[in-house]
Amino acid sequence: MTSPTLSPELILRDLAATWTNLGKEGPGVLRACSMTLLAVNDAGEDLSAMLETLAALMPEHPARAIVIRIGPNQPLAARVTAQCWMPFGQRREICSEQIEITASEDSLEDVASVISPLTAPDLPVMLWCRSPRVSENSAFSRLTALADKVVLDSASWRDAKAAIRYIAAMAAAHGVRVADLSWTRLTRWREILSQMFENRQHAARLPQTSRVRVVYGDGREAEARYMGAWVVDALAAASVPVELSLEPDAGAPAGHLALVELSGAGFRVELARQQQRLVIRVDALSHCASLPHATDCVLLREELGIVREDPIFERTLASAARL
Amino acid sequence: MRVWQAPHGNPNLPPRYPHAMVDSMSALNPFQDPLRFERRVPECAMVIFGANGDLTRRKLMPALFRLAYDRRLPAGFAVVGISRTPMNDDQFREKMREAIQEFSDDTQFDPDVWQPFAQGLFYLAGDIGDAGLYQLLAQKLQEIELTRQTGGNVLFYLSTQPSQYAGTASGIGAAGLGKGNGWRRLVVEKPFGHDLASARALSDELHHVFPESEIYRIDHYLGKETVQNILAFRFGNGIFEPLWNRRYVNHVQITAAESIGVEGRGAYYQETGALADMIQNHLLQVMATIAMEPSASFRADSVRDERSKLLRSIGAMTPAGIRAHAVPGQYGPARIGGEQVPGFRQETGVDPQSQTNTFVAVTLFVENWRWAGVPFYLRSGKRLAKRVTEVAIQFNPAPLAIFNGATEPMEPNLLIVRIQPEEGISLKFLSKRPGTGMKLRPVSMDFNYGSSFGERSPSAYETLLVDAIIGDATLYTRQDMVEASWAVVEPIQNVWRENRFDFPNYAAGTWGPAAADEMLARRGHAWRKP
Repeated sequence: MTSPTLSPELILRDLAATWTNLGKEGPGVLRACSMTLLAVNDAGEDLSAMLETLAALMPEHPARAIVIRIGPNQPLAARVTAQCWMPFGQRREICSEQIEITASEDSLEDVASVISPLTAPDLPVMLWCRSPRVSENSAFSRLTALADKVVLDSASWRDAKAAIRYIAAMAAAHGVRVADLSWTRLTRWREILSQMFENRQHAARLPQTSRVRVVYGDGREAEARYMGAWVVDALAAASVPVELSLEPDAGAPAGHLALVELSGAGFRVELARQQQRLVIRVDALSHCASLPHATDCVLLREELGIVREDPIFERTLASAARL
Repeated sequence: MRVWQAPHGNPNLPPRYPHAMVDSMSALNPFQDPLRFERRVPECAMVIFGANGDLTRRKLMPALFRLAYDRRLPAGFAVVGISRTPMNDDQFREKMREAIQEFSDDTQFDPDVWQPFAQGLFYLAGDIGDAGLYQLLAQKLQEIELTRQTGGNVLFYLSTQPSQYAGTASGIGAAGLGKGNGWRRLVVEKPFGHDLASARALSDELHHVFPESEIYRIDHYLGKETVQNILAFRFGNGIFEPLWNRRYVNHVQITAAESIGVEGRGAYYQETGALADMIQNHLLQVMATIAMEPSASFRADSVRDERSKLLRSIGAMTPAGIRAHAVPGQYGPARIGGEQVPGFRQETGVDPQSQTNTFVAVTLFVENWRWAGVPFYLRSGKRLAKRVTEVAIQFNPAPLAIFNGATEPMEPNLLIVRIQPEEGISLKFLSKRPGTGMKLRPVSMDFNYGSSFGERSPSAYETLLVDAIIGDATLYTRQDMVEASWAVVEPIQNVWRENRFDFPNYAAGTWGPAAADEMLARRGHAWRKP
């Protein structure tokens, strides 16, 4: 029996036909594309949630989205659709194209050869994969080779330490620009911690820091490792040696980092999560900042906005992998 | 629990942050991540003179609250509002809460954000001509420096009547508030004088207390995303700049049209007019941004040097030139959409014989190698057909019309930068119509700011306030720029002052007086109807 094949030419022809048909409707549409976004969906993952995330990303990062659905008995097949939205107060819809490719795990290697001619020319290619199973597949490197940046999520791995080491090895071995959404989840925490030391009085006391404590809830060990490595690296760069402790806390809410504390002789800075807020304490003073829920869409929006090198993450990734 | 000892830190090295050396912390903060973090606003107190006025309620407070909402203000940020109305801190806070709720178009009022923000709002009632007020202010700032750890940084914002600018600055200076533990800056709203001499006199007064580098003259047009995007468009792309000169550009039209009238500001507007209110500042600044030479860097003074140079290159007009190249207008009554709207002279507070211009169209020439001979048409007016601000750059037609006879009349290429509403950039060019034969038709390639970037654009005041607090004056107007603008506008003002015009000369809801169309028609051009 001949296995099904996919022709990139046919997919591109379908794409062209989609645009021609859209152009015939009403006042026409605007075609927007700033990148190719490859999104890998593993069997068992919520496809509709992923599609919703992609749709929500389109206004800010209009992309040729190529969704690759991997399933045990998925025949190799493709279909083309368009994601359109009407900006408020405007007359014309804006549309981005979406290609859905289904494949079995065994045919992942074939998928890469189909995708290569489908990427939008001269624009960056971003690859987003949540599944550890797929990203550990040997054929996954065929996909990463197409990408300018690979976005993974170590929170999906059972073993955070192994995940970070795997991601660090991927970055080192293939020279691929990688991102980990566990790191992206820390941006608000890091920003608020950084803001504390914009204050001259606080900054002047930074050398007193001798200890860094990171407390985390279930499933957030990767975040804790990144946070610890980042703080320690930053302090080391300022010639402030510290001792780091990473503490799981069964009592902390699952799926969240609970606390980051910098302390030393007569000096203590603490960031503690309280529901959707971050309570910041410096010695006896405290104030609150909101901590919005970091959805996949919010996290990807940040990562897709960074196509260039991210030296702070790269340094932290290497350090976290050594922890 | 796992414990890990930092491998990099050398305990034998001295720390990098000795107390006395901690100054510019943004540069030294080891936790900075400029790729991901927003630009940081340092701790400071902002003193608003005229805190009970419209600008504070409509623009400043909503902008500050939005910055707080976006977590862009530091925890210790404080505002001291000053005006004559007796109020205590709580009453002032309540008033500002109402203003934020009323005038924040796209920011949800979040009590959790408001609570800590409100704690940083303080109020002093007093007359800004009274020296005692500044002593009270000094005490309040000292208290705030201690309790909110502002490091002694103070941004003074003059949101008062322009006639009070000099007196307020001098009150600040006399109380010793022009200097302190941190930086001291002064933000001044337009108008910066009413002619060249008064602009110079005002600058002289301000310089008694603040050096020019600490004076931030605000022109909110420069804070608009699209105006900033002109710089990105011109100097971030390689393909447009080679076309950006007299060889390829036929002429440039800059339009700032308002569909509304003076909206209760008749008495103020009568003393100002469109020439001083719009052309002298906003439109000349936009023109400078469009026509300036590339700056060597994106540092504030480097960019402002080029803007200033361009403004100084605008040819001064003789009285005869003014008659040919400048058209004043004033709107008369009309029915628009079934509604009767008054003419300017029928507006409240306006002299029934007023000679104030509510419309201006001028033709300017830039006397440099890049732009010699290229007309820049500027127009601005109230009660025009629609609200739109845009720059249209019309390119020369193709040198040879090889499709002659087979096409509709050749349309020129146009590059349109829309500043408001629907900010974006469009390029109009000719394309072959599908089918047999060589029939061309104009098509438009659009970049729409709102749809290409789903992110909300910050308001001009958010951008400019952050810039002032950070100390980035790139988008602020410098004294030499103000003077160069007045040097362009003042001769027109002087000639018009000596004439009596047959006003009104355009009906509300139209595109201005016929003389403005004739001014362009003499060169074979026509105004766009945006």
